[in-house]
Amino acid sequence: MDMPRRAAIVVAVLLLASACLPSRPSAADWHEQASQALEDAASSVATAQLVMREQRRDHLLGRSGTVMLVEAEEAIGTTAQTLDALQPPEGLTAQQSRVSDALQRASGLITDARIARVREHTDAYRGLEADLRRERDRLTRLSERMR
Amino acid sequence: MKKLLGVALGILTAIGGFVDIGDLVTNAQVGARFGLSLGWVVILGVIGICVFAEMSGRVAAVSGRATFDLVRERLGPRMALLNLVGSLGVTLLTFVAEIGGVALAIQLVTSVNEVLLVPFIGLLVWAVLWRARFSAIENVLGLLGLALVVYTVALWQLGPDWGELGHQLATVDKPGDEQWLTLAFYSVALFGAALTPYEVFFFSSGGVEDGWTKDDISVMRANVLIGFPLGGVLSLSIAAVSWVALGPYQVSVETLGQVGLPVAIALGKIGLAFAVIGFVAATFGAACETGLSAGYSIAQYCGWQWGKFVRVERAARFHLVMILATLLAVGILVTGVDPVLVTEFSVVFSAVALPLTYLPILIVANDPDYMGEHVNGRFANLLGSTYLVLILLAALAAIPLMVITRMGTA
Repeated sequence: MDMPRRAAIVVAVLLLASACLPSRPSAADWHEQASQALEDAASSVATAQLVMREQRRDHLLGRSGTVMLVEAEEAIGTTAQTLDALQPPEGLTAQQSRVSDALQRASGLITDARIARVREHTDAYRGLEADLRRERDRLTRLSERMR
Repeated sequence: MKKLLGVALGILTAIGGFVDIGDLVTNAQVGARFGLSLGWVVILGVIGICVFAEMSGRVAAVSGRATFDLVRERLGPRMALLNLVGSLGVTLLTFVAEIGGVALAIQLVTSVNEVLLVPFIGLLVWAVLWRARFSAIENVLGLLGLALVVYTVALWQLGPDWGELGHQLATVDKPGDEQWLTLAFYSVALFGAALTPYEVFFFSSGGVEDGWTKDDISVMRANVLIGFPLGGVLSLSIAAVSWVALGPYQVSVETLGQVGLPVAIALGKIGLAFAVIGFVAATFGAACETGLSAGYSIAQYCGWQWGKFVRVERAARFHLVMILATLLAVGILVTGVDPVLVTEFSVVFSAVALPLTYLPILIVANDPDYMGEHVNGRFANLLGSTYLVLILLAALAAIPLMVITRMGTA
């Protein structure tokens, strides 16, 4: 096999191998991305909070409330997945765990809201709205600490 | 009286037809994040589209031919090909976004997944393009699009701090934790959304479809100079309502549901119903316009018979282009790509394609061989030239800003 062909195969193997490895940001980059993820999650939680409030006030048409909650659920799921795919830098494993737990908790709360909406458990709307408001505040504070 | 009614209809249609999925999403995103701080970009964009739409309309009325047709003849096939490639790519991307937008609007109230709806909407768009009269497409969808006036009503109902909104509009009031580059990115996106290339191709070809003559120039100007700015008021209303309702909660608008939520907050179910009707009308109307624009551009470049003012058999290739464009759009959407994401890309690439679209229009509108006594005056040329500089700056900045700010997420 000639040299250029060998070189091309080596380069191809290296590229493929690198594509299978998780992204390794620096500590500063990781903090920025974690902060952004928490902000995005807070946005999804805030949307769910507003939906529960407007659902309680009977302001939403048809299944629009359910659709908005499903979209918020999908968004926060994508956010959590994207952050989990990052390799945390040395010494930041505990922080990564904390952020991941916060995103999981928030995601679970939005799922609870969606379930309540689909099952029309109207008695639970006010409580869920309050929980979502508290969760949004927690996520916002954690996001600010990450910067 | 009949003429007055015709003018009124044209203005109302222009208002209702002004907003499309790009304006809906971009104005809501920018509004929720920056309030009316970038309102001046919307105003700048509206003036720009008025300038070039008036030129395109005048070209159609005086020459009886569409702008693209004349660009090819006046500037040669190479320049026309460059124009075609630049604008057609953006037009097709916008077509995908608009069909997706219709699906999202219907999904919002029915919860039927958008991917399942897309083939039916594609079929309906094609059926309307094939069979419906041009005036019916323009007038019905334009008037239904007036339902988006609900955003202006919602703003009033929410009782905002008008002083604060006015201050944001008058000054570029950057929120403390935002970067200037992010503001610049959204400025380019808003500018691109207001000046999307398909609008002028549709407007001039539509003028030929409607059989405009020199006698129609004043009516055309009324439609553009009154209708479009009032349409711009709708865009500002969307931004302002998003700021008032979503800004305090720091909601980042990424879905059509979030675009409609402020109206539900202000006006309840009735308001949301009007908003959804407006979404469907605006996006379906824009889907028809972009589908037609794709057909107009290719047919005019290739010298084929085009238009809905001739029998389908005579413009078979024109209709074939629209069928293929519709199949392409549906094919892309059934892969599950997010129409809102497609919209975000389409407005940015719109900004990139602007110089290729608008420079030829300025050249043709200045040619006395085509325009006679209706050639551009000094004022039109001053505005046109000024906007060309702005358009060039936006085109050069669009991609770098998109990369640096990571589509505005930085």
